[in-house]
Amino acid sequence: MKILQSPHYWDKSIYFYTRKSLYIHIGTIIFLLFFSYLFKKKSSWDAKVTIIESAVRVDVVAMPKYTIQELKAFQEQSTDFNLEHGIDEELAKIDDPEELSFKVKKKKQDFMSMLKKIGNKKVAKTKKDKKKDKFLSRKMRNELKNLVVAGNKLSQGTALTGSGVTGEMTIFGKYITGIPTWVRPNWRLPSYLMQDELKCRVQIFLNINGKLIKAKIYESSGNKEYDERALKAVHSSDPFPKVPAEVGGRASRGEIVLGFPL
Amino acid sequence: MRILCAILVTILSIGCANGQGLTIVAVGDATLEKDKIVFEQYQPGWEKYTPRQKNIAKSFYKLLSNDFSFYKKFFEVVSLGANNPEVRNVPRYDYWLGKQASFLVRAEISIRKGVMSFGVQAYNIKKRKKIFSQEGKTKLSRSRTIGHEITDKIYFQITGKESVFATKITFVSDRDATRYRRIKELYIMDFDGHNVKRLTYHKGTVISPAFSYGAKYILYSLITSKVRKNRNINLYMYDLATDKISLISNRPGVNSGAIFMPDNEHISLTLSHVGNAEIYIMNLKSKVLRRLTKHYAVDVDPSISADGKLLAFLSGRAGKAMIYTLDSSGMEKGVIRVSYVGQYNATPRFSPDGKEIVFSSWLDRGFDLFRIASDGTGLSRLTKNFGSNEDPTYSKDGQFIAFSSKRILSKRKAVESVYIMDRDGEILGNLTVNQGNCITPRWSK
Repeated sequence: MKILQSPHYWDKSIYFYTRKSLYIHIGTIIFLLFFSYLFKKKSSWDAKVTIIESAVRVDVVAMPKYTIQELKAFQEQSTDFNLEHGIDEELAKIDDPEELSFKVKKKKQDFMSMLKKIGNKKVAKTKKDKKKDKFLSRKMRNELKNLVVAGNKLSQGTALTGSGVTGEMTIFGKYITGIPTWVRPNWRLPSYLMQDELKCRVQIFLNINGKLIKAKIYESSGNKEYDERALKAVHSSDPFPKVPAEVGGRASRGEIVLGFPL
Repeated sequence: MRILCAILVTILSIGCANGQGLTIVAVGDATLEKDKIVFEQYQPGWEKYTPRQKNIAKSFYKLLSNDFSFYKKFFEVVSLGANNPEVRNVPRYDYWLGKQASFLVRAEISIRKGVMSFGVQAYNIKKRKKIFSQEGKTKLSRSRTIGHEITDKIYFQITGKESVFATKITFVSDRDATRYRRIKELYIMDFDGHNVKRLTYHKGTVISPAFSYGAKYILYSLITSKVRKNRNINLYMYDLATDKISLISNRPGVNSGAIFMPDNEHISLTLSHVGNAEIYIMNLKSKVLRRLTKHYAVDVDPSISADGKLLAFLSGRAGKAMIYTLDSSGMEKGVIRVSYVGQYNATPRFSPDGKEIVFSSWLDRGFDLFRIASDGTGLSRLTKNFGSNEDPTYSKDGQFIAFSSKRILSKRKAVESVYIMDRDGEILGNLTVNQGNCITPRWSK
């Protein structure tokens, strides 16, 4: 009791605890500062990641070169090429570069120019290479056609395919997605029928060569003239593109139904 | 038991048959087949007309067929020149069906003592019935106006939609400028370029005209020719019924690019009284402002969609002049960048249905017109190799675009005229001839 009452005792205790408290407080502050520094660094990393992630991805990199009128004219020309039915013999001839060369009067050549000519002479192509070139020119022509019109298409895909993705369905799906492009140029309506928002569906039966076997109204619009015009569009589109052998049966069984417009 | 098996087999077989299923392919929307529309006329007493009367009668009849020829995508116009008294009889439907005509329009015109009497009928040949009839009298000076009203009604009967025939175009021109006084005033004309009339006599420079909905008023800004310390661009409104001009805004700096909101009680405009060009909405009666943009970059040239919800404008906030849209209900609300390409884009204008924006963009040597969906997709080019093309404006039905186009005639001379094209960029022709340099056309709504 006397010890407790001694002023010296209290002085010593206060000093001890004050010192302890000071150490603890300083240690806590240092720890908090360190921890907050770590946290800040991490959040700034996150912020950088967020900024990178939020970058805008732009598909259009330049103003269009061709006007809508030019693209329409190009599309009309490209449909004339009808590659689905094979290249015309005339076109095949043009593809052969030798046909394009003009007949030039042969002049007498000196020895040096003859040597140059021999050195520059190309090695004759084998049959395989010739076939590859033909394939490439057709492919390149397709790519060029698609490249020019791509980016200016406002419509999305229009085909509605069944559920499930099998090898056969993909081939069938690819075939039928090309049919609207085939039929649409023949699908015309006068202004008084355009306004009524009519719909009809036509079931078509195709043989393996794309020839129309039969077309019948699957779902009528209720307007006789509208239905007749849809059938007329189908008949005017005959023959259709050749049907892939794997799905020829489905086309001949009438599994393709064309919606006018859907 | 047997019956149950039979039912089960039937159900299974139906299931198998439907297992492959039909595949429905959407062919899409049809292209429009043109309707053949035939015009016939009869003018009793033609031989006794004076040359002026003959001109007016010819002009009225020509107007009927010319108006429909604007819609060349929808109509094949056949105008029969002969004076045909059969106009008074019932049409021979079988005859016209054989000629593959869809519609027949007949006009009987007579002029006497400065008054034109007219009778116009329109028939649907396939349905074998009369779809329009109007008779009346009018002063010779109003014959074109009456003619446009008639063709507008016939068009509506055929298509069920409003046409552009009764609309007007306002524009700015320096037609009455002299060498010593370079002025640009406000003018108005019929949609086909006729009946040009001067509206303002400020002897200054008028810019940025805009029609109200219903075409009763025109907003425009004026740069006065007087040299002042603080030159202001003030906003005025022209009343087409009374020809009165009222001052709308004269805040310090720029008060321009004003357009009417669909309610006709508010306008959207560019003001720079805060030190930077920003876009506001102003109540016409109370003049109370509501700010829409707040950005250190310049924000100008508002254009509002038909429902008044979306506002397109030009802004330099990306470093270059680009097109943006925002929600007009709040400040900087829902700002979306629409254009990402082009060196300098200008004058964005909404189509009447609000789905597209047409604008001009600088390319190498001049401006050309482009069209983009309001969500920034489907960028298409409309003009090319056709001079420098600016200030596009959609017609009321969205089928046409009027714009100004500059032709360089020589090193020192260039001419700007108002041209018209369809919405896909097919140029139909110029509307202004010998009207000076005509710029900033605006189509009435």
